[in-house]
Amino acid sequence: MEHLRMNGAYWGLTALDIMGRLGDMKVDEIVPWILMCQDECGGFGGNHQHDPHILYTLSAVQILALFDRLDAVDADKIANYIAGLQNEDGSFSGDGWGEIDTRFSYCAICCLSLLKRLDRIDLEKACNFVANCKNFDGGFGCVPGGESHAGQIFCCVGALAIGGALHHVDRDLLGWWLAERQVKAGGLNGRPEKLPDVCYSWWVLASLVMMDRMHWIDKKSLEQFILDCQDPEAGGISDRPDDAVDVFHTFFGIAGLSLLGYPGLQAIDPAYALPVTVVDRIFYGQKK
Amino acid sequence: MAEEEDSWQHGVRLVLHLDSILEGDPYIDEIGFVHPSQLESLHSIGNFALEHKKPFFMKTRRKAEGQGEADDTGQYAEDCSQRNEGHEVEAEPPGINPDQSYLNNVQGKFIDFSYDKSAFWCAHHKLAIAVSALAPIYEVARKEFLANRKAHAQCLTGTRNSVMSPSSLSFQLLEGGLCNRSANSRANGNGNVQFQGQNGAVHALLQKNLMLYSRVLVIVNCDFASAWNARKRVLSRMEATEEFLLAELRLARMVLAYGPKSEESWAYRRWIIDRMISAGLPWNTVGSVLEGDSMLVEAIAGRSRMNYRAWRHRYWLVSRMSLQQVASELQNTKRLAQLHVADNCCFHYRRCLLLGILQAGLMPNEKNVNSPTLVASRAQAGLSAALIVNPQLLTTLWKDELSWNRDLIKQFFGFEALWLHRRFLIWGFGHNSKIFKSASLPVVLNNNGSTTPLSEGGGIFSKSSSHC
Repeated sequence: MEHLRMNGAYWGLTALDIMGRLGDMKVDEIVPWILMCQDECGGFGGNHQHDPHILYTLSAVQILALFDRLDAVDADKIANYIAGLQNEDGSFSGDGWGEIDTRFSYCAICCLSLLKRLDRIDLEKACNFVANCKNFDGGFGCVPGGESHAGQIFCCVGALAIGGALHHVDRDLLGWWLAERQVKAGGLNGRPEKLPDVCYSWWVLASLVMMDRMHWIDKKSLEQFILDCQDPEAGGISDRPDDAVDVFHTFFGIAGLSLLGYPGLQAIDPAYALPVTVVDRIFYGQKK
Repeated sequence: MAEEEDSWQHGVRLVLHLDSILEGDPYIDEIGFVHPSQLESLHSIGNFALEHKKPFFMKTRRKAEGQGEADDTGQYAEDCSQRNEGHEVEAEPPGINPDQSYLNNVQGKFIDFSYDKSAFWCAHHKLAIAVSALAPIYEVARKEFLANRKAHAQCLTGTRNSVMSPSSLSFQLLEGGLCNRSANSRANGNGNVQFQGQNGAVHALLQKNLMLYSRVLVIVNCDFASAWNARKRVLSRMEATEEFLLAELRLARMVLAYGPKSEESWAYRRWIIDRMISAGLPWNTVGSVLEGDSMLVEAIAGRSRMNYRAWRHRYWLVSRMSLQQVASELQNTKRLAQLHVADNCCFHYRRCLLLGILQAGLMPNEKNVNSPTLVASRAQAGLSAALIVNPQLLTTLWKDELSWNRDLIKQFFGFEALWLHRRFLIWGFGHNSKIFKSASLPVVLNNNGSTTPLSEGGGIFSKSSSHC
């Protein structure tokens, strides 16, 4: 799965930082590797010699933010790359090949916000496009008319939160839909009738936090579900109990536990999906 | 005499064999990754007669303990959206899709040249690859792909001072005749681009190699986006023939057979279809492809339940369909929805279709409507006056859907998908009073015993500011 190594690095490193163990990693090896993944157009690929894409561009900037090394990149170049991906209707393509998805809107807004260059895009149009992806049930899909999906909802709510346009969200209606994702076992699914999955502990929960509706789910049983997904031998977390572990679910499980206030974990920002200390450092200049 | 092949040479040989198999049978419609012991079983069955509807192979669920070697764990991304849910993968009946229609006339075919039987099995347009072969194939294909891509880019920009020789492997492919290619093989577009002299020949070679290695790469790693992009780059530079584009759709279909959640593969299909439209291919062809893709999603969704990426593709198709096709889809998917009352994707698709028809109803007199759900090509499809939606027809459609939904709820009480669908239908009445007002609508019983048509004061959904 080397084509998405940049994402994997973000998941692993952020999880480590939440657990207070980022210092175990060698920043002097990681930062040069990230820079090697940058294309001449300014965007980042999933790995060395892979085509640039907005998904990996966000992950790259997030990792650099973790290490307080945003100075290592030319922020204007990245901002120009992202701005070039915005379409007439405010949406964002993932790369030059044109696929549109609200995930890319989130990547664009989140990344530019971290680089303090949100003014490079038409933010109002971007938020209006996201608002157009709202469905009758209050949820959001990947494109206008797309089925409501917790992952897409996180991206849309996050984009609107960072973009200062949360008024587009019907908090009660969407909060209700999100609260209905909790199943009897305590876990959360991503859509009606689906099995619970640990990654939705993040996407659903972070959305609820941003909308100030986290108290609409049973936190205790969700916490127990996440803990049940940890493999006591391998150490990692899987999508549901007794399945194989992977870094993706480990990160989202840790992130979900952090939102729930599990002791020993750093607080995570629900919109930027980075430790609060990292976000504060960027916007308020506080040292870690 | 037989010495240990070094791993690179082993990988080279496997890549050559895989390419030969794909060239030898361009109509392979299913690929599977199997344990070497399963491969042995396939080879040992003489006169293999595979019924198309039977499962080709079984994918095993990923297990935390006692994981069998048969698990093709190398195929799954860490993103859980890529995970297979452990269902069997079945071969579809052939010939139901335009990019498969040739199968009606193609007899069961065996590859008649020698290939590494410890790594591959191919018959009846099915291809099995041993999981142990994947890593060496990937290593070689990746390295060669990157080298050729770099050389190709340099060739295009004219930044090379001399002809940089591609790797020795690439030259073997062109000169050594190691691949089972005939002069009349499927159209590859090379003849459509004219290049001068020596540089032209090198360019053609590099382009051919890019298509070769990118194909191997996407088969082994369906989300290797750079490989799909390289194919788009090559296709963008050549004349888009129908035959060639259909062949690309076959490649994506092959990959989706084992990777039904591969977003890159679905996105590739969308790109190819848009290429067909922009190239001005006949509407009949495009319409057939759209219909075929809709059926492909249905077939895949049958074995990969509530596959978000597959269904997302299906409602993308709606934006390219003619109104007639949309109405036909609504009719055709009713039975499917009834069989899968817990499947929210299915009902969401119906909502997309209903909204598509509703939007047409809101703009009845415009043929060349430029809206999210209608494209100019619909005018080419010949919208007739009969298809322009009138409010009464739309209301009947909506009421029928509501009544059908009520019957399903009575029969299958408690399924969230059904209730969500009902909420949508009632919301639809409330938010489109302009089009529904002249019709007789369902009513709401008020506390004082009076009734209010649903189109007025949309009730609990009135706060929602979303629009159709």
